[in-house]
Amino acid sequence: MTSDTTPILVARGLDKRFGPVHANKSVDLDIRVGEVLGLVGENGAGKSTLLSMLSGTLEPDEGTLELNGKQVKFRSYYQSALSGVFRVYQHQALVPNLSVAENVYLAQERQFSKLGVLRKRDMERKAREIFEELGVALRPEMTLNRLDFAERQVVEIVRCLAQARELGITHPVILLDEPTSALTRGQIDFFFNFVNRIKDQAAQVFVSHRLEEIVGLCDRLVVLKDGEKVAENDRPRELSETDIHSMMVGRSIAMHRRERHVRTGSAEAPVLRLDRFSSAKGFSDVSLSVAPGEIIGIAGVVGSGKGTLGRAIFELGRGCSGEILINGEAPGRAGPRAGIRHSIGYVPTERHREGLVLGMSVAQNHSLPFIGAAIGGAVIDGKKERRDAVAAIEQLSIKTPGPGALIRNLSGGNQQKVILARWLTIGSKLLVLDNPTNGVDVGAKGEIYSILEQITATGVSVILISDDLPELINMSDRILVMKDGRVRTEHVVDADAPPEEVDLVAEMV
Amino acid sequence: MSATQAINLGRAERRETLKSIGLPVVAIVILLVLFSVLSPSFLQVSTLVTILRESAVLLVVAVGMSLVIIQGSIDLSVGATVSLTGLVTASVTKDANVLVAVVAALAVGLIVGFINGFIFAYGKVPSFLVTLGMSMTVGGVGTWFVDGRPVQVTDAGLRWISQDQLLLGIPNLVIWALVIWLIFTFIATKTRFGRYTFAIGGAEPVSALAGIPNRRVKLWSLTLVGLCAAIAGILLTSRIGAATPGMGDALTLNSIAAVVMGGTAITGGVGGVQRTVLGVLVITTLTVGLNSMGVMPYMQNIIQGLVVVAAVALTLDRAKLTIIK
Repeated sequence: MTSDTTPILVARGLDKRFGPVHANKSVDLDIRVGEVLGLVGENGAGKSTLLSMLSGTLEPDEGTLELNGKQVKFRSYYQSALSGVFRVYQHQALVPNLSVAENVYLAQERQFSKLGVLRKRDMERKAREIFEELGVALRPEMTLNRLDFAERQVVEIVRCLAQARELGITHPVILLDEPTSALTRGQIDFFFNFVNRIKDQAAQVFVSHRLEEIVGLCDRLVVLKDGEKVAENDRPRELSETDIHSMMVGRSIAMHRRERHVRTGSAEAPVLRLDRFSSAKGFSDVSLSVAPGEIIGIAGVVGSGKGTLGRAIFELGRGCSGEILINGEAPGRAGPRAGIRHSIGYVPTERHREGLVLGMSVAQNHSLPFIGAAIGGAVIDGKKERRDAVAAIEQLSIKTPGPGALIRNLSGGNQQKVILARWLTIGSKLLVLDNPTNGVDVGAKGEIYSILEQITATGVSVILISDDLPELINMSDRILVMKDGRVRTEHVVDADAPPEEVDLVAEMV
Repeated sequence: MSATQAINLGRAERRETLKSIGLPVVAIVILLVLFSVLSPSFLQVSTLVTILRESAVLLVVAVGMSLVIIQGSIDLSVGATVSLTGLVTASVTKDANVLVAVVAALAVGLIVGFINGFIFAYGKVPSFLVTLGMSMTVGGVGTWFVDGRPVQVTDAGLRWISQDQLLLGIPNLVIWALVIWLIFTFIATKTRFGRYTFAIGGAEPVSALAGIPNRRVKLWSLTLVGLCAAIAGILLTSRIGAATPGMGDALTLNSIAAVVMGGTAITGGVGGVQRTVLGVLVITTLTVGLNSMGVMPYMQNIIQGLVVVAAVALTLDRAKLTIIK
């Protein structure tokens, strides 16, 4: 262990209020070189506020920061970076149309220019040296947008190290703010490998929603709850995810277990039938039948075609070949509007890009498919819109100041509940959910599971596409594993002997 | 999110709305006070009527423009369309009934708007480019149609449209503009179509997944702004008693400025048709005030340009607070 080394960055009593909200309550933190410090907490626990105070984007109301034993005060991120405290954001702060080397030395151009003329070759040479040293197989002259997301994430960390070197700092502090949330499983391994490799050159703080990552990667763990540091643990590798859950929420959450309503005999007509359903966009030869009240889980790596399949079902097979039957009948028209009118609901994986109009209110977002698919009249019934929204807010206990509040002010979990509520309100019979608990905190996750449980009990069917295998195993009646656009295997989930995660992973890759 | 935080957010939103309406109102009041002090002849009932009359044509163009900007597009051809439809109206009344002339002008506006919308929505050419090109084409057609000469209005029926006063000494022109404003406010706030424009301007992929026929909505909103331009062309011709090529040119930029000053984000998705009237009043109060002070036309241009830039700078800041893009 490295816990005997003196910490490089020490925070004492950091305190921050936003109006009536006490975001951080006198938080102490020691960050050491040679270790990865895990920082966990539910949405709104104050993780981002804490990172912002460490890296100069927020000024603490109270408390002190010491870097290498000297008291510091950062007034901007620029200052903090000059002192060697870097932050890697969830959404990358890179310039896509510049080369890798240019990105690595962004804002350090002065070191590479002579009489105002930039010497690209020096930049590339230096970047190549550092890549070689760290064992990164990337070519510095490549344009950044040709790299995949994980590789870009690595470029961003290399940038911290490289810039620290230019500034003469041997051990930078790197704050990683949910760096893995957009990565696939394979990419995560690649990324973790890299984080481990640079361990003795930097002090790293790692924030993530995925607890298995914390358990697998971190040397020390700090748990925040309601702005307070509620737990600190020196051996997170020996903890189980459930242990960490209970530290985060102050109670232990039993892993959700769905009551299964397996309907014996196929007396009921299937809600959806696919026969040799294929699309040039990424899947082929899918045959499937979904009974009322059934949850079909679909597993697969990114690019396996599971996402495109879900979207194609919602759009009633627009641009696809093969047969699709809704309640035994072939739909006349295709497209989202037709799908909604055939009682199919869709929850896209990228909530902010495809799910919500952020400038609209909760009520307007809630009524979007009702109005969008022209189910009501040409004139909007404002009273009904409001009434429906209020009913949904109560039914799903959505936390919002009211139906007129802007949707972007809600937390991720509550936004997701509004999207789900849309389809429940218009009475959809088949829901296609693409990673519905992505970026949602543990509490809201459990609530979404109980909603799914309730609606399937009333006969609504669900196609659950997910990267979260425990979720699939706990919720699904059947699990399809997709690979390269085809359904590779099908598991009927037996509650007493569920399929093992390792087996599913083995079939996915 | 805690309850206190939730209440706080609700308040912040209300403050935001208040500010976006308050700012142009404050601007109008300041201008009124300023001109009353600087020009003794300014503060009269007749001046206020002049402001209303001057506002009318701009308001008609600007309400159509609001819809298009809310949708995240823009129409740069409105000025040229106003000129063309004005010329059509004035020319047709020479040989035919005023009703025929009005119908002809409206049809021309609809056709121009439809072509804009079709190329934009189905040809997937940015509206900025389509309408910029269309502006030149339409302007050219207008000039060619009348050989570059102004057309005098001799028809009494056509004069009546803008110049008569149906009730309480308010010019008809103003009444037409108010009616159009009310209709478009209704469309934007209460109808499905209006909601679609907001959804498309806010997030196009989201609206597609919600079943909104994006392309059709884009086509119709550009067609509607063409219709608005035609109405404005008829009103303007009737008001000044003549139609000249290029008479509507200033309306394009003025209407965009009015929409933005009214608090509609140029990036789309946020704002409202009803607010645009405030932006229109700011611009016309400035024009009328400068006229009453006897400021030279070129000086007026300079001042107007600066005021527009200043107002847009203020309102853009607001847009950033209300949308994330």
